Amino acid sequence: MTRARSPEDEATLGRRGSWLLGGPMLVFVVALFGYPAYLVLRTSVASGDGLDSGGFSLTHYVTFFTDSLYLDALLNTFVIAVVSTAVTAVLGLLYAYEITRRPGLRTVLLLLLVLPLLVNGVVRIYGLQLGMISLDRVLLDLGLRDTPLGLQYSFAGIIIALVMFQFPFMALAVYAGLSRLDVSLVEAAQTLGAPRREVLVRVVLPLAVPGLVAGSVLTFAAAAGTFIVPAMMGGGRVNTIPQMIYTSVSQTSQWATASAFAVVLVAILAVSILYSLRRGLRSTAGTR
Amino acid sequence: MRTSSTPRERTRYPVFAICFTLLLLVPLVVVVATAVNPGAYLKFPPDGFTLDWFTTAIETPRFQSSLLLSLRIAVIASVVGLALTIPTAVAITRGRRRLRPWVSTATVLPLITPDMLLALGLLIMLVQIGMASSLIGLVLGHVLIGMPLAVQVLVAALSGVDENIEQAAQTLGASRATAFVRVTLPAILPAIGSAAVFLFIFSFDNVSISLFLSAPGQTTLPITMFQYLEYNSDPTVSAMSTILIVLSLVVAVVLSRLGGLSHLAGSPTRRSS
Repeated sequence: MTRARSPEDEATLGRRGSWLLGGPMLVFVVALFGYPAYLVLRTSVASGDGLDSGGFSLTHYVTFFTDSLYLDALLNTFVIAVVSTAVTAVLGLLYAYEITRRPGLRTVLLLLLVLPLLVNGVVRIYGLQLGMISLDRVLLDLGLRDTPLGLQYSFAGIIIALVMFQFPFMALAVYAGLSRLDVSLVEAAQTLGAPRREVLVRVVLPLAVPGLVAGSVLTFAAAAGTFIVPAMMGGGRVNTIPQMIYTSVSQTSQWATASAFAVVLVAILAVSILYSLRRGLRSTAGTR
Repeated sequence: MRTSSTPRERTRYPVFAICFTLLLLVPLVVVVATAVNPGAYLKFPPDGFTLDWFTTAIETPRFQSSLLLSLRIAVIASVVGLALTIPTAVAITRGRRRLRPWVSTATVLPLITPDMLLALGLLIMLVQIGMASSLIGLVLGHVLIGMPLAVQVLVAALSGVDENIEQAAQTLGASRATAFVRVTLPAILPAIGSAAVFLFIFSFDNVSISLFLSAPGQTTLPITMFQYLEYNSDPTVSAMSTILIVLSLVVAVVLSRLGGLSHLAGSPTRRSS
């Protein structure tokens, strides 16, 4: 009976034990996440473009929003993220709804869906490019097209790659919600003469919205933040913010410029995600 | 009535879902097919069958040294990661209530931040302390990326272990540490295995962190392949890719045996970026 334990604090570990076990992670995250994040923020408002230049100025942000090269990259990043999120959401919803209605082979399908997630991203993009080249050859041989599509180095190729990469997360997030759907409910509604669209909007969609929101946030963040997809699929023609961050550091040593890009990227992500979360939550509340 | 059930039964297969799932696997099949084509050019479907390109890939000095470096870093990252995440998971499930939200929030932060920002911040810090091209930075960066999922797997397993059993062991005279090591630890061994595999594969596959923190001439395999593919694509790189695909299959089998595969699917991971 050394000390009284409050009912809320039913920890097995004492105060010292808790800190001893939880402390290292806190130190780790502060040292490798918190401090580096602060350094990026600090560097982005330095007066010079090098490291340790010190001072304070917003030049790098001003340059960002006035130079057409940077604005193009910003626009590309945003368009890529929005389009790939929209396409992934529609396909993910169809997929999740179909495997809810028709459960045949479901376990196998979900396993096969997860499998590519374990394969290296570079390998997956390379395979996709080889596939697109083969597709072009088949289309030319069959006389369906006179000129190759050239998807392997194109804007559309970037979208296709991102949709393929993020699809499993979207489909599984939506499926998690839809799996609570009682299929007989849908059939009953249809038997009673409810139009197909009405059933989808009133019964299916409300269950899918939380998954769609979660999947969209994930897809948007991945699409806006990816370096390797536009770097490989864009063929050097489609400039995005992550690519500008990398080239600013590796080729021209413009540390402050790169840091400002990174801060802008995070700001875009934070604003878009918070906005969509609020919209998503409101629409769920409305349909219930 | 009787005849109507047969076509209905048949339509229970999700045709679109099956086609789409297979479509997602096509790139991997194409890679494997181009790796076994005898000619020194990429051809799909292949003209014949050979395993020579695998020998060439392994013997290419660039690929060989990168593969060994990647494996070494991934193993170290798994060990360091486990040493960090097991105590963390114990603190989250058994620690004091007031500390728990802080620790669990800390483990999620790297997950919701773009890789590019993590990588840039780490590089600025490492340059400042003069460790820009050391392997330590690379290992710690990889641990940072893999840690959230590892913690999640371990926390899920630890929450499933009845604390009363641990307390019973203590009542019977075991110290708290002994009770943990001999009672709780064996119960979560599969989860520890899954966490180790996740830490390994997240390190092995990572592009963003490695891109910034790899020293020139000492790049990990994904970066070497990315740089190689900028100027050439040939059966050698297809063979190297096939080796990575086979490794992923092995990882998938191990994870499904350990019960960790569902965590990969249900959680926000960062495979592509």
